[in-house]
Amino acid sequence: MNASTINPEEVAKFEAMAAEWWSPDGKFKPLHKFNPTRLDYIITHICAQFNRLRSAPDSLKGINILDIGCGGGLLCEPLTRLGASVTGIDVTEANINVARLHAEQEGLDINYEVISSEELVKSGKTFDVVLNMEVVEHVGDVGLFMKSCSQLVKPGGLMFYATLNRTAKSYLLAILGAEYILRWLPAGTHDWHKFLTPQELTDYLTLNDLHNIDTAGMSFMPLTGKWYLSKDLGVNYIGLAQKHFD
Amino acid sequence: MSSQISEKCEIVIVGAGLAGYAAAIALAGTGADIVLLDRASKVSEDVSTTDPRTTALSPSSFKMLTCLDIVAALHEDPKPIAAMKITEAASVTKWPGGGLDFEAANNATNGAEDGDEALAYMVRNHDLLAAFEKVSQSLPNLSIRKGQSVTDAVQTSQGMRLTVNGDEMLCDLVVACDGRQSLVRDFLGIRMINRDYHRAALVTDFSHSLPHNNIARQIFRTDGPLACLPLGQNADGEYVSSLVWVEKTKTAKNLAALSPERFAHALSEQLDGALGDIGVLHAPHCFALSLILAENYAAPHAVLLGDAAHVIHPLAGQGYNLTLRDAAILAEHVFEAKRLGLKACDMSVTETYELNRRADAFAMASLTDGLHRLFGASFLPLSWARHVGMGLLNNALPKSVEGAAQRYADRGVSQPPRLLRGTKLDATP
Repeated sequence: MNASTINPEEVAKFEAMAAEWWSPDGKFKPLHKFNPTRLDYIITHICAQFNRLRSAPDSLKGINILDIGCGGGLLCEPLTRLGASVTGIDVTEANINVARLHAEQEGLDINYEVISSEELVKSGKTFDVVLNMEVVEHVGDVGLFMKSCSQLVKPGGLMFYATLNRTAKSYLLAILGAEYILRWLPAGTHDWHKFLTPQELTDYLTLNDLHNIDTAGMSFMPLTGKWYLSKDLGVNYIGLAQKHFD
Repeated sequence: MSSQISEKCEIVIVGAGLAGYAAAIALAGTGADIVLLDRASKVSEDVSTTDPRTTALSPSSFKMLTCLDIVAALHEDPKPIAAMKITEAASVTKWPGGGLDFEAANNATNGAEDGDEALAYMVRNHDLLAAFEKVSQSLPNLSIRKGQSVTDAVQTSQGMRLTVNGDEMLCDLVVACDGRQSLVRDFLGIRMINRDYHRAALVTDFSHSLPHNNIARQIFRTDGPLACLPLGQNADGEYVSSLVWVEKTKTAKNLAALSPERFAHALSEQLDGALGDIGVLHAPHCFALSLILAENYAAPHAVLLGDAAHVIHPLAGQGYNLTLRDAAILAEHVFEAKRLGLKACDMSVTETYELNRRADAFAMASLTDGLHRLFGASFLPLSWARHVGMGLLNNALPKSVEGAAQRYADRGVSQPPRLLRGTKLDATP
């Protein structure tokens, strides 16, 4: 980041926002809480697919990863530490500024860009792994979005997805529970009607030359405050698909 | 906030005692860069070798120290405890039937489960510390700095800012191993429960004419327990045991002031001739006993470990085993976090540590405190409760207690941390 071109007031604002994105007790606490569980899932499957030693400190060395809707960089930073070459994109400029600032503080080299997936497709870039995490429930045109995500995956590469299922349980837990009762997320963060069922999501994958490999539930254990992988796809679910080799 | 950060590092451990070294060496296996700060400028060997304290390492602690190469670096081989004999002093017993005598613990269940494994292994604290120092020299990612005083610790959004010898250091995680009067704990504003037992433990070595047969003996008395822990034989072929004799503080001080001959005589009376003729090898040291439990074991960018987090009654010999479990759990979670590309201070580390260690320490503190109170009372229903309790104790100590406490502490975790199973952290699972 070139400090001279940046307004100090803007920097101060982003520092405050960075502190919020990265504060374990801030408004993104739920993301920090389930970050280890989703990272574990992502890293384990990448290692299995690319024949990497899971326990190596540089287990993802040389793998090109694109994180769509990267926010403050909660996934980009850990994946970079494990050796991956990471690009993070977000349509919210403030998020990218926060992410850049934080990466610099951490001494991590991450390519952040304010760009939509549709725009990025036009550049012709493709990636070994595309992360489509907690984004699909927020986009306007799911069909278009899924198509562009798929185009960004190299043949034989992986796309990870994570989102919320549209069930009565998710309505109660995610909308009423997380947003109104536990106050984990600001009310209005999610629109239940936009949630996709696993079947709807895999239909989009199939339409876009992707073959679903695995889908797992992510459940929360209130007693220990921990997330874990489960067979219950009723609320949060995570999965991955492989792009066909042409 | 006036001065600049002069150094950034990953993990800083404050306090280079038995807790600090154990944490440092366990954490070194995670690959993190570690700085161990010691307030003392150098260890005076004369002082350290006169420390009469010993530790009974539980089987899982022993496994952990074996896999960290500490056991191999000990000057004296650890002495196994093959059995425990727990008795109640005649003066305590009010229950009809007189003195209770329980031959304990190395029973069929334990034997079948663990083969030839001992109940515990005796090591001398100064020998353990020397082994830690020796092993730590060979770890490239561990740097030990002597003569370092931490005068402030402040949480910032970027890490823990420590003032060390007037310089500012920024670290991801500080591990407070600076003992029961932990300054780091104070800087973090973590409060604690602190209760004086008004008891002191007399600790020394003694020789005796009858063999101990590797049996640990503990006598429960109204004012506190008396334990004799087998330490093999000395160079002259005499049997040697370690003594931990708890008395009211004033009585303990008086006993400590006796001549070696008179002290040996007083001890013989307590033991009722069980170990034959007694020769006290060193003047006993007197240690005040208290119960300290920190209200929190972790904060953002910080954890408390060892005596900084918990000091318990020594009657079950579990204090240092608890500390080693702190170190094993911390190292396990830092290792897991780093394998996910997360930092050592990740919430998954500090929150899990808090939950797990609080439960374990609370369980051990309750057990030891409960036993202390149970034997301190003298009216009939409690005496009967002791009668029942002794039976439970025989099943409980030391192994099952540890197991139960750990199971309680590990709710939701499928198995104990690798180090307590004797597996190095860098090994592929």
